[in-house]
This record gives sequence, C-alpha cells and structure tokens, in this order.
Amino acid sequence: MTWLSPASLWLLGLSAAIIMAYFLRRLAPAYRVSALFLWSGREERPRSFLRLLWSRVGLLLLQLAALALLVTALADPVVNLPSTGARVMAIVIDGSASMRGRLSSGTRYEQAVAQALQLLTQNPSAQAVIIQAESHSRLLASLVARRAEALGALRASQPTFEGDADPGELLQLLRSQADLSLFERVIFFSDHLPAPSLGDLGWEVRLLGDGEPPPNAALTGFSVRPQPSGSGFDLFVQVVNAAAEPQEIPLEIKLDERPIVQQTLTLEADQEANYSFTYEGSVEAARSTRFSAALSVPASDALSYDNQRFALPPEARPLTVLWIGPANPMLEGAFRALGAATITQMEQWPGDSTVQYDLVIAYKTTLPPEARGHLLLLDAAYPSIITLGHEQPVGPWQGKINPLLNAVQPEEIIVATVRETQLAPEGQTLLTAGAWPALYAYESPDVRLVALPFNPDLDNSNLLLTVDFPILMTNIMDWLLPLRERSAQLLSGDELPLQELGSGPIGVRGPGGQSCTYHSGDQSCGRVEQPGFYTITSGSIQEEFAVNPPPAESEDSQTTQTPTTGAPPSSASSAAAASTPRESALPLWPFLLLAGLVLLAFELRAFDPSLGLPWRQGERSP
Amino acid sequence: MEPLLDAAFLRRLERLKLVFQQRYHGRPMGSQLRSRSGMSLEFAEYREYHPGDDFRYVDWNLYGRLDRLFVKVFTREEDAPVYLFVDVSRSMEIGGKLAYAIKLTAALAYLALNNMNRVGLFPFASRLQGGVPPRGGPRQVFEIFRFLRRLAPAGETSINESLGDFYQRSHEGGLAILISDMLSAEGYQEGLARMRWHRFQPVVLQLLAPDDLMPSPAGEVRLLDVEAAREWPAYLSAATLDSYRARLKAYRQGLERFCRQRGIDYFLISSGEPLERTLFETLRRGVFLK
Repeated sequence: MTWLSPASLWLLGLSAAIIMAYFLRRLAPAYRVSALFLWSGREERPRSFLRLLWSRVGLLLLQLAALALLVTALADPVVNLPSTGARVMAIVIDGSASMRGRLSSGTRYEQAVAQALQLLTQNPSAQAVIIQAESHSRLLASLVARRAEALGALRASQPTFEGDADPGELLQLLRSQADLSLFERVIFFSDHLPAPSLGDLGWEVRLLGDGEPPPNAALTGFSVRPQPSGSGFDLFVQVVNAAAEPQEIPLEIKLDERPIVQQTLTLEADQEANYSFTYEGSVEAARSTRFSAALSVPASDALSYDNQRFALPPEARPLTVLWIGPANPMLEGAFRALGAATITQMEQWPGDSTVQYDLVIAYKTTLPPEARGHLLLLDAAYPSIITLGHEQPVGPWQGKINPLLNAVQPEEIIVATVRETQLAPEGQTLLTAGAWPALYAYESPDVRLVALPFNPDLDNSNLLLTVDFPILMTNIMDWLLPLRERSAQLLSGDELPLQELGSGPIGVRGPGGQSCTYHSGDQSCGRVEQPGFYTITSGSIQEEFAVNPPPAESEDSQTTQTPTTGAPPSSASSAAAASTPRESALPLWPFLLLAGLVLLAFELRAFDPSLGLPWRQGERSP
Repeated sequence: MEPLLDAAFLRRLERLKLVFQQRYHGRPMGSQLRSRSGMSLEFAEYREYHPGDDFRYVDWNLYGRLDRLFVKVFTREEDAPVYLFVDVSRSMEIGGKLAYAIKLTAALAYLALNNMNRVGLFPFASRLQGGVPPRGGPRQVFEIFRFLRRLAPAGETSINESLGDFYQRSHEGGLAILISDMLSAEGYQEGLARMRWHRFQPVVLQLLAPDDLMPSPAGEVRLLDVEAAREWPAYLSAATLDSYRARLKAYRQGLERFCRQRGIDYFLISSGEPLERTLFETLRRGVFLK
C-alpha cells in the first residue's frame, strides 16, 4: 500500500482530544427516585462482557473508529493490484475524410470512437494520449489530461475532410508527449493500414468496417480550362465506381449554380473513367466563374462528401514589374513574352513606392538594404545577401533538384563568365557553374529573392535564346509569385497563401458563409478544410480558391481486410507489454470515506436519546 | 406563618366523620362495659377467620352449615383514638409528597378531633421519630399542627421497624392511618399484619407523586435513590419506563391484595391530586371516612 498524502495521518492525534472529551464530559443528570428497587428489576438478566463494554465505551470506540477511517481516507492510500493493462498508451484515430464512410451502425469514425472509449474504460488507471490523425494531426488529449477531459474530447471529436496523416508529423506529435519507447501500447484506428513507416513501429491496428466494402461512387477529379478562343471552357471530370456492380450515375455540372451539363455516366464495377465536356458560352468578366460538379448517387453510397467537387478556371493575372537598372529592351521583351506584364523602368530604387509592384527586377545594379518584396536579381547585388565580385570563368554546371530547375537543362545554357559572389548562408545555391553560383534563392519574412549572378546578355550568355529561359523564368515566377496564376484547387487541410497578400489583415470567407480575419501567425484562419469556395480579401485584392477533399480518400482500401480486434503486432516489446502482469493502483479513499461516514451516522443514531434502540432498553448494572 | 389549612377548608372538614370499624375479637358485653360508661357493643358483620383471632368468637353455627370458620365482628362506640402515622423518610421529598402528607394529616387530625376523638401523631422513617401522644380537645390541634410544620424528611423507610417501635409502647387499639408512599425495600407485611393483631383498625393511604406514577423519558441519567443515596446509571427510554411502571403496578397490587386479605383499608393517592378531592371523594369511597 502506498500513501499519497501521509501528512494527513497526523490528524489521528485528534483521537486524544476525543478520548479526553469523552471521559471529561458532563455527567448525566441525576434523576431522583423514591425507590431504586423498583427500577432494578428482580429478574435482571446477567450482562455479557461485550454488552457491558458497549455500554461504557461503545460510543467512544465508534468515534475513534470513524476518525481513523476518515483520516486514513485523507491520507489517500492506494493499493497496487495486478493488472494486465498498459500504464501508458496512445490512441490514434484516423480522422481523414474516408472515416466518414457509413457502416451499418454509424460511421467508421463513430465506430472508432466507440472502440476507443471501451479501451479507455478497460484501462482506467492507464495514462493515455489521444491523437486524431489527418493531414494536420491534432492532439485530442495529452498524456497529463484528466480522464474525464480526455473522454469528453474524444466524444466531441469529428472526422475531417482532410487526407491521411503525414507519418513524420504524426510521430512528432506523439514524441511531444513522451518518448516513443514509453508507450506500452499504441492503438491505431482506421479504415486502412497505416503508412509503411508507421506499420513498422509495432502498433496495434484496428480496422473498422463491416467486412464487405460499401458501394461508393466518387468524383475524384474536376478541373476547367478556358478555351484559347476565350469563348468557353473545357471541363474535365474523373469518376470512380467503387462498387461490385455497374452503375449508371447521373452527373450535373453547374456554372454559378446554373446547370450547364447533365449526363448519365455508365461505369462498370471498379471502373475509373475520365470525361471531358465543353461549355460554349460567354463568361462575363464581372461575374464569378464558379464551377461545381455533382453525382446523384443512391442512399447506400458509402461516402457522401466525394460526390461533389468544385473548380475555378486558372487565370493569369497581369503582373506589374518594376525594372531597376539600365534598360535592356531584349530582356524586357523576353519577360513580356512570358505573359501579360506591365514593366516600369527606373534607374534607382524608388523607396517605399515599390509596394504596388508584383515583382522587382534588378539588372546590373545594387539594390539598397531597405529593398523589400519579390526580387529577381540579374547580375545585380543586394547588400548583406548578395555581394558581386569580379567575373570568373565558368566550370561545369551542377544543379540541385529543386522546383526552380524543373525541366531546365543547364548544360544547354552557355555562359562565358559568372561573378565571384558572396551569398548569405540562409539562402540556397541551386545551380553552380564550376566554383561559383549561377542560381541562388533566398527568403525572409520581407524578401523573396532569386538571383542569377551573371550577365544574361547575349554577349555573355545564350540564355535568352534557349527554351530554358522561359522555363526557368516560369519556375522562378511560380516561386516568387504563386498567385501569378491561380491554382485550380486546394485540398482540404491545405493553407491558403495568405502571406502573399501582404502583412495587413486578410478576410477569409468560406463555404456556408463562415468567415474569419487572418492575422500574421494565425494558422487556424488560413487553413481550409470544408470543401467549397473560399474568398480571401485584402484591401482591393480579392482571390478565390476551390477546396476539395483528397481524391485518395475515396479509395476503399479495406477490400480484403476484415475488422480485427487489434491483435498485438509482432513487436516483442508491445507483446510483452500486453501479456506481462502489471500493477494498477486502486485508490482506497472512497471506500474508507464511505465506511467512516457510515460509522459516524451509526454513532449519531446510537447517541440519539429520542430513539429506543433495542440495546438501550433497561439499565446498566452498577 | 402560612396556615396548613385555610379556614374555609376546615369548615368543610367538619362535615366529615371518621367511622370506626374495630375488628374486635369481641369482648362480651358487660365485663368491660361496666367499667366504662356510655359504651355498647353492636354486631357488625361476619368475616373469615384469620389465624390469631380469638377462637371464642367463632360462630360455630355457621361452621356447621358452611364447614368454614367465621368470626363475629362487633363495633363499639367509643372515643377511640386515632393514630396518624406520617412517613417522613427522604423518599417523601419526591414530588411534594411530604408537604401533601402533612396537609392530609392535618386535615385528618382536625376532623378526628372535631369528632371528639383523641388524635396522636407519629412520624416515622426508619424508626418512629417522636410524635404527639393521643389527646383530645382543641389544644391538640395546635400541638399537632405545630409538630407537623416542623417535620422534615430524613432517613430511609422502614415500615416494619417503625410500627414495631410503636407496638412496644403499649398503645390501646384504635384507628391507625398510615400515610406513606409504602416504598420500602424491606417490606411492610410484618408491620401491617401486627397492626391487625394489636387490634388496630389500620388504614393505608399510599401516597405517590406524579413522578412516581408516570416518570417521563429523560435519556441518559443517574438514578439517585434519595433515601439510600445510591446512584445507578440508566437510560430512561420509553421501554425502560414501561418496565418501571409495570413493576410499580405489581408492587402496588401486591400491597393492595395484602391489605384486602387482612381487612385493611387501602387507598392510592396522588400528591398531584387536590387535597379536597382526596378527602371528599377518594377517601369517602372507603368505610373509614364519611
């Protein structure tokens, strides 16, 4: 037995006061009688020792016993009982969109929560971490949370529209609670096996379902593209029939809630098909161009959220470019050829008035230290980040795998010389020509910069004449200006690119009318989850995004797995943890408290002179 | 000094009369009467023979018919003395019994003297404690009343011993009224029986206080015997009191049965009852007071 509050045992000293008070108490009042022999009774029964003892000190013994029980309860004793339950365990519940799948008794997620609750009930003394695993996993209950709070958080949790959890992020979240080796059991509730990196950890996997995969028809892809003529859109749809039988599935595509396509699709069992449609019609520039596609599926369809998808046509926004440095019509023309751009040329940095420009191109100049924004340096310097030295002969090209060099073949680029360059270590050199950098990227909260520290003019390089130039520039623009071309759609769990709209407050409005205002660092406002259209507004700038659930969530991975009760994996440590008898602490204070109160009630009743208790009849013998 | 009895009450007492029914063995008329003028014997009744009765007064005619022994009882008009025995033991402190007994004794003494009887007063506890010899006349009233006022409770009750003291003083027979709670652990049988043998007409007035008759629950107490000064821890619950009342009733019934069997008038009086009701109603149900 262990005493959690042994200091309380000092209260047993109160027994001395009780004993003193008992024997020093005021004598019972004298009751004068004419003849004592009339009270004694000639047929008095002999008293037993116990009855005599009770009459003398019975109440005192009751009081002392009650005191002992109550003080012992205050000392909070616990007794260690043998138990096969784990002391520390983690419960990971898949909260991705596929867990919304309907079963015969509720959804997969509801089944998971029910099993998790049962698990916690079976291990009342175990410390448990509860994690909901999705694209951005979150902690439902920490290791030190009280059991009632943990159960409440578990019951209140709901599945998301996000995809599967990133294994690294999930493990990091688990490690934030305790070292992985301390978890004697990790139980993973999901409708499919976890990622291999997680499966190798020896977790108990409990698959959810009714055995047979439910029928499901899903829209796994939907995108739109404006026709080159500008008089309509091309619509692309991908549909999956994850059912055991062929289905005829009605499809409807709407433009701003106006049906523009209605067609019944015929798919074989387990067939995935792509469809394209054409919408011929003028789209007024002032109106929104929100496209939505929806399948009409039977009520038995397992997943309801994947029967509708949203899309927005991509639109390249005209750039405003500030050209700092001497004019170079050929370079400027090459940039204009990449897309619509308005280039303003200045010799010197204009100061704060650069905020209205999407991009600043510095050509053969040195930007001041206060330069901010999106910067493309062509043979230009930026104090404390890029310092240019003398020109040096180039060596072999060496490039890193990076999105900026996607589809670029540096070996086709001829450069005569490159600069001796001192670069800030915080940036990344993505391409070198021998010993010197040829492509450098740097990012800070105020600056996003790409530098080509060599002269791109034709007298030094053939870059302008190669197909790599537009590819390289497009890659650079995509990184410097992700809003240059609006993405087709985001996935649930992605973050809106709110930082691109500046540092001021940004309003976010989502489907269903919910809205929030994003401030720097407030990730909860910028993260999208529910499928639909989102609008972000900052000043006069307004951007729209379409959010859809990950297509992978519509795949039913439970085709051959039958639900298990979580047989422990082959890991020796977890198997040993599951079978080795352990101790669980049983608190005794409730029992002691109850016993003490019962004794006190009994003593009070025994003391009450108005009650004729059987053992108080008659008189005590002198 | 507050009078024991007020004048109006005394005037009402004058209407009462003591009735003597001396259970004589029956001295034959003549021999004694010649020495006393104004006496006459009158046949009163038959009663059953008790051991000690004079065999000469057995009615043998009745025995021949009924095969049972009966003696003849005569009454004699005489200024027979009235002996008043007052229990002054400490038990009479309870419930104002002594004060009540004093007033009752004073009333009986007054009406006896008013009836031209001689009255004697004999307080007792464990023994006789002095007293006032039987005399008649108005002065005796003052003597008795003054003596009564000085009475104070003391000592334990011993009826047998006290009456035994009295018998040794060779008193002539008469009406002997015993006013006591009769609660004596030693008993009362010998004393009362000898009273009959000594040719007294005994009357037992058992005076009990309301607290004696119907004590109330009091929980944890120390029962204190006021005479013996002994303590006894007890718990006065309803059940305990029921048991006590049963014992008291049995004791009383035993006393009453004893008195009835020996031709002794017995009355149970409560000190909580008004004195007038006791004298004019309760005691007049008997034969010794009319």
